[in-house]
Amino acid sequence: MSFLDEATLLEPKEQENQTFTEEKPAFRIEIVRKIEDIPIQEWNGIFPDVLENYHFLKTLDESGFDQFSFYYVLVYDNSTLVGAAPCFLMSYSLDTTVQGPLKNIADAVKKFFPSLFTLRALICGYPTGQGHLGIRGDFNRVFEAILSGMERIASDGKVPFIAFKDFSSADAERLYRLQQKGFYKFESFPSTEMDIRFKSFDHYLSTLSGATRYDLRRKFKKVDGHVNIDMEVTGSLNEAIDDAFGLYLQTEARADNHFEKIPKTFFKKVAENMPGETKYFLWRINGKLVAFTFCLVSGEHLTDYYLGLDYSVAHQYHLFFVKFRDIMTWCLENKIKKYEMGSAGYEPKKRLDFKLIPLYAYAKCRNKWINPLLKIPVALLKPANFEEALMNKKEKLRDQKKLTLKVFLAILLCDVFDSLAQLLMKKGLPRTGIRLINFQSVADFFSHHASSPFLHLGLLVYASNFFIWMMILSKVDLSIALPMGGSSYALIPLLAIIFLHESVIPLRWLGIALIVLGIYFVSKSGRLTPSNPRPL
Amino acid sequence: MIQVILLVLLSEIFFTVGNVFFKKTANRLEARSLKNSHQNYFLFVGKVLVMPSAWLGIGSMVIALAIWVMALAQRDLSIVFALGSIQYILILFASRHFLSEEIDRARVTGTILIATGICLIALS
Repeated sequence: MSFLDEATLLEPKEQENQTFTEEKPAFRIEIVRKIEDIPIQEWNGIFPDVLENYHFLKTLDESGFDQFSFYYVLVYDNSTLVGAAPCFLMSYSLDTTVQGPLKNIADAVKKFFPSLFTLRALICGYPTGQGHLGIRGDFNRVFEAILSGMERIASDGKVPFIAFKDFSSADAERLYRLQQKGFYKFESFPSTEMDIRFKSFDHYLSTLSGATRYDLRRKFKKVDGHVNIDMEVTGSLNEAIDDAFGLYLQTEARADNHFEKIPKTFFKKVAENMPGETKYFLWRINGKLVAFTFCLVSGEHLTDYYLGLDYSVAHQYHLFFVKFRDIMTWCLENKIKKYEMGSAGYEPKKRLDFKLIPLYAYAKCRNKWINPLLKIPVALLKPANFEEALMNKKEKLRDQKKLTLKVFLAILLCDVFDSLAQLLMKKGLPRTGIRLINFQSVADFFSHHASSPFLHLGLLVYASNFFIWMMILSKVDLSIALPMGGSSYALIPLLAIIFLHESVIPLRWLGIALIVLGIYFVSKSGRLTPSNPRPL
Repeated sequence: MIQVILLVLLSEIFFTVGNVFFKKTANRLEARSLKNSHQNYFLFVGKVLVMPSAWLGIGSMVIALAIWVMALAQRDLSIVFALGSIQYILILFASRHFLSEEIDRARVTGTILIATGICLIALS
């Protein structure tokens, strides 16, 4: 028995030793600042299916982003590249919004604690979209090495935050280790894509919901009958670059969740570095550029990156939808099977039947005391908090429950009407009443008093009240709306006291006080935070 | 007296049922259609009136109102109104069981306070 025990005890130990010796020739971690210092074949070899390849990163390097500087973490096993991760250091100045006397104080504090005023984060991924990791062999081991490479960059540069940006759910499954290492996982803005399996644009339209199809047809009809929009597809912008960049800035200024601001150089360099993939779509009305889109095309996959619209005419000519139709038609002509459209403007994209592809991000603060505080922004940073189109049904209902002043006033109005209707009815009915409750007496009662004009007026008020009530109910919970209506019982005596100088007995004061207190409680319950419900 | 209590209770039960139907109707309406309430008001009215649950609600409301009117005709307003505050308690149970609304402690406390307050005002 004891012998067996020893054997079972020994076995795992031996195994441990073995893996230890296997790990001994540790990976060599290299940090490179310029992608050009890495051989093309090596980099592209480890990212076989990634559109944002060596040349794309070279473009980012050369574009001169203000807020990003780039790092590449490379992991070598002897001399073969087994791991690669594109990273960038982001510094975001926080004091831009402070003005006036506060600015002087801010400046003084800044002198001593400069790190307080710039949010600096080392982020693994691409500033432009979905993140990718290049890993060969044992994922966890190589990933560990990449992470230690990132830690090294962060500690050298005194960067407080480390993050992983926009990884697919398949990648997220493999990145579970990050959470064990103190990273917080959160949902990022999803990407959007559509599988193109249509014979023609009309075929595509026929797959949409009736309302959307009708709406699109109406839009296109209006535009086509009205104006001639010429489209050009080109590999480089040439002299149109200034106009196009102006449009990009217009669109960029309108989007509130854009992570990156692309410099003009990017649009020039990308055409030089990726001539095979870069496609610029340009739309002109009478020779004037009104819309442009930058796309990358690789094989059967088109990625629609950046859009620029002339907002003086964009709504009039439905440029967003015209652009979509033209690119879609181009895709059909060129046998493109997948149309990817980045992350913004979810409302129209959802209607156009784009799929939402969830993306995940991870973040950690290197200071272990501050790190737990990240929980708060991570909980608040849910994309659905920014974009209504991203809410699921439950969240939408929850959002509806919020009691606003407008709804409260509508409830009051509703109840005043209700009291009015009741008064009218009371007036319309004599005090006789009925003695017995059976069908005969009830019918008699109503046939007797049905002609009273007060009764009719009362019913009319009731009917109009019904629609106000339905509107209220579509905004808040029934169990909030109804008790809130009770406030009219407090309001009417209060108004009588204030305006009619009516004297009030203490019992009635008590009643008013209880109602006001009750309303305070009910309105508080409507403001529950979604993450902290306290169900009974 | 017992007759008034029964009448009010019956009326409030129908009232609660009607409101549950109304809320179910409202939940089915898209929130988006309410954004420009000016333009969409007629659309809204139309949308509501084609839903069967709205008519079920109206039906029970009419019954509730009829019984309520009978109750009003029997006694003076104050006692009927005081008894009527039972509707707040009924609604609380109904929204929890039939509409699966999240009823927390604050809402229960507030509702009970309001119901008590209305009782006091009606009786005073």
